[in-house]
Amino acid sequence: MLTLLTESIVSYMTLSGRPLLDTRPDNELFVDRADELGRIRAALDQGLNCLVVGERGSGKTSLVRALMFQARQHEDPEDLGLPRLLYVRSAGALSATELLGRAAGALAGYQGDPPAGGWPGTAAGLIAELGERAQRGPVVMILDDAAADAGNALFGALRDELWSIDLRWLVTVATADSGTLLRPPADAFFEVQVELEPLSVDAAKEILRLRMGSVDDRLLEEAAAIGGGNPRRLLDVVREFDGDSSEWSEFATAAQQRQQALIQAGRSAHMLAVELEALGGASASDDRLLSRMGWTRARAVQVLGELEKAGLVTTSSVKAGQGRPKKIYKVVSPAQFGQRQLHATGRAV
Amino acid sequence: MSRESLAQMQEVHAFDPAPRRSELHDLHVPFDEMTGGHGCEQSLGDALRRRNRVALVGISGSGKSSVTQSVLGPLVEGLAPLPITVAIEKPEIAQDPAEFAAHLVRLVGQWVVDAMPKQASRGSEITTRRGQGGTRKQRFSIAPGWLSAKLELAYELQQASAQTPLSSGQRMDQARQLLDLIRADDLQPVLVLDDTDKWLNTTWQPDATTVRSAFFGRVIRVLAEDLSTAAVVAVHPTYLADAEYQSAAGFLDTTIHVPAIPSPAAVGQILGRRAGLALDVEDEQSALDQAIAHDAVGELYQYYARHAPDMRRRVLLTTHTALAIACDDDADQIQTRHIEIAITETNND
Repeated sequence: MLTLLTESIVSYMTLSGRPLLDTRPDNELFVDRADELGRIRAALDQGLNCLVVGERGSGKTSLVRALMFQARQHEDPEDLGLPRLLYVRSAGALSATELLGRAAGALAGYQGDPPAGGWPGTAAGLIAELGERAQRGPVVMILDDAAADAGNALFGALRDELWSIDLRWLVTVATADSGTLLRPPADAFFEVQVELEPLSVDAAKEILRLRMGSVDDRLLEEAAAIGGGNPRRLLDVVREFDGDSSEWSEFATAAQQRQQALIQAGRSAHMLAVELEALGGASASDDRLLSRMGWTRARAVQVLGELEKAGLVTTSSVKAGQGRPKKIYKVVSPAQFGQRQLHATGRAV
Repeated sequence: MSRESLAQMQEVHAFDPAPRRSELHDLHVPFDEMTGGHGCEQSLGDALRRRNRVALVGISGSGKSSVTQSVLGPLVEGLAPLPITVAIEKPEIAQDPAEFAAHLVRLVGQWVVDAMPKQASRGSEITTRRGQGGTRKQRFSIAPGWLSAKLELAYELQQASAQTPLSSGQRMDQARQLLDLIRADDLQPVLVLDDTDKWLNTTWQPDATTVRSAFFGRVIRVLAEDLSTAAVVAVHPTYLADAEYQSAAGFLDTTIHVPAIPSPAAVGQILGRRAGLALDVEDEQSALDQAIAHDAVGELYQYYARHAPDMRRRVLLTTHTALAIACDDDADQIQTRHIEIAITETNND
């Protein structure tokens, strides 16, 4: 069975942890979340703004892409009452003005009508432009992975101006960023909030079945337990396995122990590890990491030190440009964690 | 009520919790009317005519914006509201009185262009066309309604706002000149800062305490001492205990608390007003009786009364959602069970 798994990884890359797109092949890999999709659809039908909150890797992007795909299947060209869902990637936006610029660009792209004289340079001007364009037909702007500070400025400081135009918003945000994004007065902007709960074990197993075909149920059960309801973690763990069937049990045990160790390291350390995994590694002075955590560099150094001491991160030195090399931290893989445990046990004996 | 009428109310979003600002004036049932007193809308109007600076206190969703719009818009005898919108590109506006004055001048200049673009660009022709009415361009605009009816004044304001003063003193003089021009037309200018959280509590401001201190300690003071203008400053109750807010207490002449909705009958008045407008029926009580069962209104009031007085969320959003549920249910009227389901669906506490 596990040979099949390895072949899947090598041949088809179906175990990729990337978010699913709004295409038919990807939609066929989308599992569950019918309740969440129903609530989002109901909110948008009622003309309400909706916020989707979920842990990193919980499937927020895949969820909104599935919504877009499904909406297209029901699209009737004669029915102009259906809102058009426009996707805007928000990650990395530094300001509300930048977010508005991206939204205006998406809308102009859809309408095939870029502004003749260029875009306004101010947030107020961009909102006016969006307001005028939104009058041409119903639109829902999907702002995916909202940057916390820029999102708070947009939906807080400019809340009433956004309320005044005929544009509805579906926004996704990581749980760790939601507190900042929803700081008043932005909290009132989203009439509906949908929390992405961890996937059920059955749903997690279904994800793997869809990607790997027929696989031993025990493997699926154990992988689902390690994934802890997070689809990206689930796929990461299975993808990281690079052995034959006789080695699976050992790998699964190491992966579960690593997960337990991350939880036991404390809430801050666990959250930091989640962000490190999402970034694929970072230094203590990485702006993206500090922004996501809302920490100072000193705090990051302290907690990364705790993770290193617990054997939960690896470090490497990377020299980029002038100055001292940077120490890059990465969360250990289950295999690395297993080896470290073995090594530690051996030393103890 | 027929199912068709209920569907019509849903179609026009009769109970939209976030209607356009320009619609608030028509939708709002004055608290004075609901309570039988005169401590809210009437007090606010009287204070502004006395050129007072008024702190309007209420939690998010309590109705501060509705009260302000009810008293000031769109065309109220003797008062000229100047809605001061946030300019996120210039955070210093919230701290520096001269920057605040310059922002006011820019806004007035922009309103003239928005409200009467032809007149603004061909100022010399305005006087000869007086009385023929403005040719309002169909575009998104936040220009106050009174400006469209004041062609000659608009021209004077445009001329006065077109200069680019260099010093702080000149910027203050320019703002003072604009306010004097408005007063010369027998209008009392009223600066409207309708949610100070937008200025003081979002992430686009670098240091909340410093900004708050400067805003209340310097900007509000300048409104009172240098510009000597009436103003409405909407604040959350949490600010009342704030040392920075208290430093402005001497410059805020009047404090008005937005009252709570007093009774189930008052909830009925709010919903009846909206139902009547949606169905184009003058008899609001009749529209209410047809739209929503008496017991359901009582249930809604109980829900509102059990929590902080958030009209937007507890009354309007809940009814908005209940209306959609009733339509899905093929019901003729919103019933208590629809309200109960809506409360469950919209409760994000």
